[in-house]
Amino acid sequence: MQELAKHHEVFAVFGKKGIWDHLDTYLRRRNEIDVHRRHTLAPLLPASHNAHAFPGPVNTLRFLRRLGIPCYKVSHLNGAASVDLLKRLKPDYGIAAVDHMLLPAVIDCFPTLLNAHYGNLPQVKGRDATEWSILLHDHLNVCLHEIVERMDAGRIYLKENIAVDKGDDFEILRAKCQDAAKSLYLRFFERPEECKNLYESNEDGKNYYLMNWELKALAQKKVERR
Amino acid sequence: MNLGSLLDFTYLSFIDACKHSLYPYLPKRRSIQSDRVHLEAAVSWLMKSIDKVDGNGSSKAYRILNGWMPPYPETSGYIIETLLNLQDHYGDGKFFQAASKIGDWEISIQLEHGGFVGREIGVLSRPVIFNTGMVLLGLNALFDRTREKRYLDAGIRAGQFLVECLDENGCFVRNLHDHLIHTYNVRAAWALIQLGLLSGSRDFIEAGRKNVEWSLGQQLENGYFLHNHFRKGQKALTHSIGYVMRGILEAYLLLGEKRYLDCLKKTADKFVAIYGIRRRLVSELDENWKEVSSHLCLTGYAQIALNLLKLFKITKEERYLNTALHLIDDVKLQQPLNRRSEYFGGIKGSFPVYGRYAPLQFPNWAAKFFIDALLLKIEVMRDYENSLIDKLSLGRQ
Repeated sequence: MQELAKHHEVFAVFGKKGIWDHLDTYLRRRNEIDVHRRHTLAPLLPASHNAHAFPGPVNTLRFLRRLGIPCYKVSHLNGAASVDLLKRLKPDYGIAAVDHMLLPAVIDCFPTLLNAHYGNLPQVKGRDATEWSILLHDHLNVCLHEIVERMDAGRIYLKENIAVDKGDDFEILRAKCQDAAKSLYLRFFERPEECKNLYESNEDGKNYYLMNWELKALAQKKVERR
Repeated sequence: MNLGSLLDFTYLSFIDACKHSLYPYLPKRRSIQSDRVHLEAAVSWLMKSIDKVDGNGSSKAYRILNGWMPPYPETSGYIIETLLNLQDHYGDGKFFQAASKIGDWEISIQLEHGGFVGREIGVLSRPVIFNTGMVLLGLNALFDRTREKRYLDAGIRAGQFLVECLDENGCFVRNLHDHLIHTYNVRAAWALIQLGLLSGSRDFIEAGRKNVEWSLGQQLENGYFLHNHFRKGQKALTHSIGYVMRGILEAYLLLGEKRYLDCLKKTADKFVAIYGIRRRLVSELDENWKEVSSHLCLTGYAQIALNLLKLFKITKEERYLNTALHLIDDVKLQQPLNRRSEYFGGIKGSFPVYGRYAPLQFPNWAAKFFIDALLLKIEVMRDYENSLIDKLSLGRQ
């Protein structure tokens, strides 16, 4: 965002308003991920990484406001208030960083809505894509693709391979993916039209859902045995 | 009913009501134990249900307010196969003894025309297709294991009864439960095909095949099966859909017709998507897979998990395995593991316990399907882990 804001007019919309929205998400997600570890990951990574890729826990809203980026809050991104707001703001591009499906009404507010998928497209669509990619394949990609109505099924514009090292766990891989996603977005916005013309089809593949903890453990073993 | 059971009822209902309303927020991982712990608890409950009726079948259910029910020929029939699998798993002769005693009891209550009564002992005197088919599965399993002729003879009589219930389209139309056509009777077709292969009779195989074909015709494009409810006005239950899936799956395994597998995958894919998105499978679903109840049928969970595990073995499609593991975890969460309780190790009919499916009961078939699913899960996970290790070793070479 910081980089993009230097050359573009940028704004952010947050899909949670009150303490209850955050509590609801926290309670649901603690069954699925190690919430605490995700938010305190930075000190666990090598110092070389810390400096640029993993700045540690920050309050995103405060951070963006400090940069002078306008921020809006709606109670739900799929709600009518969100659609009204987006229609009013008329963005040229959108970047979605959400953990749920967006309704067509929201998607239609953007001429191009982008998402960085932390898994191997077109084969692995949906939730826990990093874990599924590791379990099913021997490599991991971050894919920049367009959001369409069907889950993770829009055109793929850019891809980057992630180095999976012995000793990595899924939170570390996720942090690596975040780092790669940032560079993909910057690359895309350097030459958006060119990237859009050179797209890769995203037709095949299957939808995957939340991975069971026993399969996750097997996928983790697979990383350890590399 | 005594004060103890009344307290049990109040406590269980209150806890379940709280758990049900907070379901998405419950800390799941911490509440479940290893497969071995849950399996042993369920097995101990199942053996208790057999002991309670002196080995003559298995008690239909433990009712929270009324205690143990009389034996149920239908479910006792298909419990035989589970007992034989437990014999293989633990290598303990008591399971085989229990299975053969139930088999002998089933033969002793077989009706003159070969059928078996519907409902638990003492309620209904007329034979019903589905119940007969389920006992036939047990007799087939015992004959396959022992080669003792009495099991085959009784099986053939049951098979002849079933064939007489079919019409020219392959639909079971006579001796129906509640006088309704049921697609889930395809499980009886599975029993017929099995009997045909064991006895070498083509007639049984063809009769079974005809019903499987009829059942395939009941499937909608979205994978849903019509005529698959227990009572008028009801919609299909995950329990009855699980029955249909298993019937067709076993017919595929016995006859090798790829169409059966394709049909099955359509329904299985739907369950994978529904569970993936909603994170639960409610008991009743309409033709558009819309939820028409809020309670969960834990038997249905265990059955669908079992079917998905079997499908994973055939297709090697990890999405089936993943959903099966989630479903098994969800059932584990509901299994009481307090050894002092009368229903230690049992599986509730519904979650919450007062839900519409088998309310306030721990049915024997819920424990049976849970045991089946756990036994298969242990095998599948072991093989899957080994195959991953093999692949990695090959990759290194």
